[in-house]
Parts: sequence; C-alpha cells; structure tokens
Amino acid sequence: MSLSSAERAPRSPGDQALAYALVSPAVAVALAIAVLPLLYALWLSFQDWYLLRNPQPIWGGFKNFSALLADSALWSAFWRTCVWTLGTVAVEIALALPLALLLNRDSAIARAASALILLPWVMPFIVLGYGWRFLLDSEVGALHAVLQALGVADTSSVLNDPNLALGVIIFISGWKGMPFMVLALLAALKSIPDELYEAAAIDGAGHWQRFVTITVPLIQNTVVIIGLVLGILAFYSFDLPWIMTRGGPQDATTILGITMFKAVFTDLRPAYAAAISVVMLLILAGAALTLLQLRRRD
Amino acid sequence: MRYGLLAATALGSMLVAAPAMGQTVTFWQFSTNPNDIAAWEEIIAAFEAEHQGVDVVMEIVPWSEQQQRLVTALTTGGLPDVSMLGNNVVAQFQAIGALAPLDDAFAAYDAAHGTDVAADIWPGDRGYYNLDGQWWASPIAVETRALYYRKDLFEQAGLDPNSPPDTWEELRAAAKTLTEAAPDGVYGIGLSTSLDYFTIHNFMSAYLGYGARMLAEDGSCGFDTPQFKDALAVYTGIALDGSTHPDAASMDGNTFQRGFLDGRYGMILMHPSLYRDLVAEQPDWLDQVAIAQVPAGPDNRSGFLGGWPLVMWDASDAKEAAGQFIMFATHGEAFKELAVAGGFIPGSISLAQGEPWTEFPYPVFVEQLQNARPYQYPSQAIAQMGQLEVDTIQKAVQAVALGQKDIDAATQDLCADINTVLAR
Amino acid sequence: MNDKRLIDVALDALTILLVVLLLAPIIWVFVASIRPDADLMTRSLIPAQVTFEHFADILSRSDFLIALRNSLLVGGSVALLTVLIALPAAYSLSRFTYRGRDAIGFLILATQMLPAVAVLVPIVVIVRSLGLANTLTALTVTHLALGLPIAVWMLKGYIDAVPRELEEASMMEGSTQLGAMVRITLPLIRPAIVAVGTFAFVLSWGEFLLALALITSTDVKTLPLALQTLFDPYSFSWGVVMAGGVVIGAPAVLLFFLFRNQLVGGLTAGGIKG
Repeated sequence: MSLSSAERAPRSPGDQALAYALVSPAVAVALAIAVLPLLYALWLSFQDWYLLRNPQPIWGGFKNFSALLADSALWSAFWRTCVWTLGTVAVEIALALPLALLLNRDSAIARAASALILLPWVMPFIVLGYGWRFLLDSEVGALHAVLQALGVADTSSVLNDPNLALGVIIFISGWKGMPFMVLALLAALKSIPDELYEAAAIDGAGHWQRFVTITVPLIQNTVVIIGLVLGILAFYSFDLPWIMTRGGPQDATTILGITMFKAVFTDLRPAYAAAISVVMLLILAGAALTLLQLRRRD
Repeated sequence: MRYGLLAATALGSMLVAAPAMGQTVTFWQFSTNPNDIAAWEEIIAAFEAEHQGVDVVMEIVPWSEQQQRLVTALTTGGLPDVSMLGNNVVAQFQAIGALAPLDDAFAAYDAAHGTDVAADIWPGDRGYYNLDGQWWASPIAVETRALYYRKDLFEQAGLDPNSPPDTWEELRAAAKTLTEAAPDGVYGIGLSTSLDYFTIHNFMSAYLGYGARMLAEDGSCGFDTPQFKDALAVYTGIALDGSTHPDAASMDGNTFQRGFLDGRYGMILMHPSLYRDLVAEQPDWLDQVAIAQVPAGPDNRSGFLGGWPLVMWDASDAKEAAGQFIMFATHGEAFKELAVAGGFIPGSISLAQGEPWTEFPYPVFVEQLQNARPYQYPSQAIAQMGQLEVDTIQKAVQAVALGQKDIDAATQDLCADINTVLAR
Repeated sequence: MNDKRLIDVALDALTILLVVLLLAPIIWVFVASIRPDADLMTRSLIPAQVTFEHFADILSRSDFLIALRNSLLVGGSVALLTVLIALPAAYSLSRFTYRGRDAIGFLILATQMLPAVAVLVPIVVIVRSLGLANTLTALTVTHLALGLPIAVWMLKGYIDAVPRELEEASMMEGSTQLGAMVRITLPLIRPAIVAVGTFAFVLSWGEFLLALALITSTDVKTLPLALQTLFDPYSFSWGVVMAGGVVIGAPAVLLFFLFRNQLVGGLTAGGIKG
C-alpha cells in the first residue's frame, strides 16, 4: 500500500505552484539579505579600497585575490580555523549526545535541566569570557588548580601557552554551542516512538544494542545537519577568541573571524575583507556540498 | 519678474548673513559614565543658551565601539558633525580626508575672546593634532601614566620609601627585590606583556626613554636599533625575572588595575583615575600610596600621552555651528566643570596648572605632561598609527616575555610587520 | 518497581551533577553578580559579602530596560517570522519535487555561510537608502537571515522523518495536502518547531555586529549594545558587567522554561504502524 518514502513525481501543475509558493518567502529573504549583499561583496572584492589611500573604491581587478594568495598569515588563520571548526563540533557532539540521552526522561529534574542547559548558549560571549578567564586564572581559578593537578597547566594560566590556549578555547567554543545540539537531539530522540524500543526489548536486545540499531540511525540525520550548521557558525567565530585572548598569544588563536574583523575595522581594507569572504564562501560551500553528497550516497 | 528676483536675492542674502538658524549638530560622545554624560548635558545646555537656534544632539557611542561605528559610517554614510576621537587616530582620519580643519574656528574664537588657544595646547598634543601645518582637533582631556608605589611594601623589602626608582634599570631591580620580600601572591609591579593596550602604554615610555624611535628618517620602521633592543630587554626582563604576575602575557589593564587595588602589586604605572578608585575603596594602606614620575631611560624621560579631543567631520553640513560648539566645549568655565566632573586633566595648559589640579595626585601628572609624547615621536603622526597601536609592538614584547623569540628576532619581525603595514 | 525508582533517582542525581559541572562558569557569573567588586577578585569561590548593588545599578539604567524591551520585541518577532517562513519552505523542499529544488535548498543553506562582517556594509547601505536606519524593523528583517537557513534545513530533516503514509492516509479521507500538513505533520514535529523558534530567538538576542551597525539611538538599542556601554575603560566594574550578563541570560532561559512542555511532547499513541 505504501509507496516508498522516496520523492514522487509532482502530480499536477497545481502541486508545482504550491511547492514554489511555499518556498518563496524563504527564497525572498535569502535573496534580499544574502544574495544582494553577496553580489555587492563580489563587486567589492574586485575594487581597490584601502581607506587610507582611496576614500572611494576604485577598480582593482584581481589585486585583492593575488594579495590574498600571498598572505601567509591569512592561510595560517585558515588552517587554524579548520581545526577550530572541527574541534568545536566534535566537542559539541561529545558533550551533547550523552546529555541528551540523559535528559530524554520524563522527570521534573530532566525537564528543568533541559531548560537550564540553554544558559551557555544564551549568555553573551563577553560575560562568559570573563567567567572562564577567572576560572582559568593561575591564582584564583578553580579550573586552573584542576589542570595543574592533571599536569596540563604550569604555574601560569593555560591561556598563556599558545598550544594550550587554542585547545582550551576550542573546548569553550564547543561548550557554548552544545546546548543547541542538545536541543536538536532531544527533539529527535523524542520523536522516536517508544514502540520501537519495546519491540526490540521483546526481541531480546540489550540497552547498547537498542542504542546502536535504533537510536543512532534515527538521530544520525540530526547530528549531521546540526553539526554542519554549528560548524558553519563556528567557522566565523569572532567574539570568543577576541575576548579571551585577543587572538593571542602571538597568533595562536587568531582565526578567520578575527582576521576579517581586523581587515575591515583596524586595517581599513573593506575590499580585501570582501575578497576573503568570497574565497571562504567558495571553500565552505564546496565542503558543505561534498558532505551532503557523501550523505546522499549512504 | 524683476521684483521677484530682487526679493529672492534679498531673501537669499538674509539667509546667508543670518547666524546659524535652526541648525542641528550631532555629537558622538564616547563616555558611558553617568557623571560624564550629565556634565556633557550641562555644557550642551549652556552652549544652546548662548547660541540660539543651534540644537546639539548628543549620541552615546561607547569607546569600545567607536572604531567600528566610525568606519561603518565612513563607508556607508551617517557620520556625525562633531565627535570625540582617540588622540592617535586623528592622523588616520585626517589622511582619509574625513576631518575638517579647525583653524577658522580657532581664529574666530581667539578674535572673540582675545585668547591664543593654540599656545595653550600641550606640546605632545601638538604632535597628534597639528598635521601638515593645520589644526585638526581641539583637546579635551590629556592623561599620562605615572609610577604608583607602596611605601609600606618598600620598607618591608628594605628599600627607601622616599626614593622610588628613577630609571628603568632601577625599576627592574626594585621590582625584583619587592617580589622576593613580599608574601606569595604579591608581586613587585603590575607590568603587562600581553596584547592589551596597557602593554604599549607602559612600554612606550621605555623605548622613547632609551632613545629609540618608531620611524626612521625615511619613514620606514626605525626600531631596529640597539636602543630599542635595550629597552625591550629591560622591559621584558622585569617579566622574565618573575617580578610581575605569571599570567602577565595574557592579562589586560583592567585586571592589573584591579590587582593593585587589591594590594597585589608593589608598583604600577597608571593614570590619575586610579587614585580616585583608591579613595573610593579605602584600602588600609591608602596613606602609603605615593606617586613618582615614570622612569627615565638613558636618553630622556618620556611619558605616555593619552587623552582625546573633539574633531569636526568634513561631511558636516553645519560646520560653523559645529566649530563654535567645539571651541565652547573645550575652553572656558564650562570646560573646566566638565573636566572636574569627569576627573580628567584638561587639555589646556593654563587650566591644568590651576585648581583643582594643584591637589594630590595631579601635580605629578601635570608636570609629567610636559614630557608626554606620541608613540612615533619625533616624527609627525602617521595615518597608520591606529593599526599599529592595536598589537604590533605588543606582539614583540609578548614573544620575548613568553620566551618564544629572542630580542633580535622579535625586533626583526616587528620591523617587518610595521613595514608591511606602512607599505600598503 | 523499587528498582526503577532507584534508577530514576540515580539518573536524576547524575543529571544534577552533570548540569552543575557544565554550568560551573555560569554559576560563577551569577554568584559574581551579587558580590562587591573587591570581594570578586579574591581567591574564594564563596562570597564573603553579598550585595545587590550591581543589579540596582543595572536596573536603574533606563537604557538597559529599554534595551531589554527592544530585544524581547525583536527576538520574539524574529522567532515567529522564522518559523512562519521556514515551515512552508521546509515542507516544500521535503515533500515535493520540482525543478530547481536542490538549487533552492542549497541557496538557502548557503546564506548561512556569509559572515556578518562581509554583509555588514551592503546591508547598511541598503537599509539606509530605504530610510530604515535606526529602526527595529530593519534589525528584525536582517536577523531573519541568521536563523532561517538552519530553520529550514532542520525542519526539513524532521519532516523527512515523518512518513508520507500518514499524510496520504489523511488525504485519502479527503483533506488537502496543506490540510494534511497542518493536521498531521505539524503536531508530530512540534518539538522541532519549538527548537527552531528558540534558536532564532537566541541568535537574534545575542546578535551584536549588525545591531551595532544599524542602531544608533538609545531608544532603539538592543541588549548586547547596552551591555557594551558597561565597558567604559575609565569606570569599569566587574560586578556590574556580571549583573548585565545575568540580565541578558535569564529572560531567555525563562522564556524557554515556559515553553519546555512543548519540547517534551512527542508521538502519542497511535503513531506509526509497522
């Protein structure tokens, strides 16, 4: 009786019209707020607009792009940003999955907890940044004491060490984004019907087996999509590394968001920043496409 | 027809000759402190009373946002008529052509009041605000950093409380002695080696004092000299000695200030407002706090020059009224009240030498202002100063303090960075 | 029966422990907001003194309260509009095939990949030329772009997971496709809708850069901008900043608390057959 869940051919012109109509408001927003500015950014990337030399943009051709390719600091920031993005998403999944499983219960505590867990995500970076800096302070920070005991930190705060600083801030970045993954996973878990678990239990499957054969496949979609989305958000992070370490020590935590911010507001080179964003958009889009194609093949 | 033309001309000439009628002057004010805001509102009210028809609209643009807001307004429109501005970025905006010169406003004010406002401007400020022979800003506040020190901790360490360190070498030695004698958690000096502005605010006294200069005669980086390296060595040496907080490479000025207020440092180079906070908090050792001038180097004693002026933006449609407002707000009784309310030293030499800046702690700072200089002294202010001040020099200091680079390598990289920016 | 009770209690305890651990920095911020500044910087985690002066300070700043109202307005509008626009779009992408569908889907996702810094200048130019500078309307519409792509893709994912058979069964009984969507699918993805609305609200709530560029006058400011005003370099108080953080964080959590039941709802009895 049931056709497969795969897409069917449209049935009638009325159907087609409906489909387009439903999606048009979203497309309109995308066009207005993203495509138009993107076209502008594209145009801008071909201009020569260093505010200290030209108050108005003048045609620059590929000037920005060749400067971009030669800018080693930029590409260091790019690789750092890739590490940052993957690390952040990994932390988010690692924290969110157990938590979501734990919160997927029907108790008052679980419900209260699922509201409270939203806090890291909702509080502004600027305040959290100071909270974490305090915890990591080598004198008064409780967390520093723990890290010292574990042999991770020396006498000075981990934020002083270029390698550790990046790792620590990646963790904080993941910690901050984790609530949304929890939320999304909770929604996904809650839409798995209990009957599936009951049926499997009757067939003799243990907890772990039920998790692997039922839960994982059904939340896989969510993890990938939300992971992709959180990854994109993380890619352009600015506030957290800026507040915690101003991109330092040295360049250890300077990721693309900081580079671009500086390019516009400190170095006064909006056209160069536009060129960077165009290139990064292409790279990101390529990565996202690849990821989606891989998924489709499964 | 002719009559109409005549009437139109008459009307036209009336409008041109009339004083600024019904004009609005937008003013971006950077302080969010309620006292300052109240003081500014009073000045505005006084100005509007004296200049009928001019409406000054103040918008609060916090210091932390002003760079973003100004750059955005530059690229998309929406600049104000008048605003405050960081003293060392005046050159930047002047180079873009975004500012309007104030010579006419200065002259008009002098003519009306029999003053010579240009002569009343601190010498260091001249370096920031007088560019290419014209005046581009009228100073409001100036500040400099002096050496706060704890006489009780000096005594405890066996140092003479009445003879604070006078040179950077002495400072380093004193800081070390203080740290050794002090209990755990208390350090000789709150000296920053982080990327924060606080680092450059302190370190610039060192490199200028050792005779180093940021720009060579040909306009390229002038730091690659033995003088600069010596200054870098003594400054980072203090941190490497362990005489400051172990996290100094990642702490900001606010944290250090807080630390001094909590009694964790024997010395700190800070602005006059720190004393105001000390008085507000009343620590036990308040009467043991003394202030001396910033240490000198072998070549000279140079203080940090902070402060901010009012500038007029070239996009303004109400230049005459804006100019009048600027002059009104930066001179006279109203200005003095503003300075008192804000607790800052006025950018006028004559005012700063009168009351209430004759009371402790101001005299030390006022005296030091004669030797307070811009970062690029003795060169003229450059447009790229804003970019360079953000973290270029700080990176060199931090690298050495963290043991990542030696002095020569850090200096070389610093000059490479500076020259890259200058060459853009 | 006892076994289950024991497990429940144990799991509850574990939940509390994990939440406390995970929220440690936030707890610190909350505690910090009621400590006097001097006490804040001492080594102790337990405050020696408690004061509400920071909150009094914050709440006495009228610009803060105005900003709170504005942020609520914008955030709420953004959440509502995002859901209203994303839902049909997601449904369209999920249930229909038509030319350009994949391209449209990717276009919507790609708008997420532009950083605010890149679109800042053109958006401000457009808004100013429309005469909408300094309005909450402009900010609301701009914020839509923040959460819309994710909303669409997330909802699409959940809609994909709801088997078509349910809608088809309903349509066999005479309802239209849209009717089926509203009556059958919607309730099933209610948790996702709440999640998406929350996401949009939170993104808007904390958004700073675009607000900074579009809003200049005090009566239209949003909370992140108001918080920035606390960071005056010459009169900085940690306690007040922390209190500001609490004022920003708390309402959002409160709102979510109110909606948590929506999130809890899942499939009721009589869902999927085989």
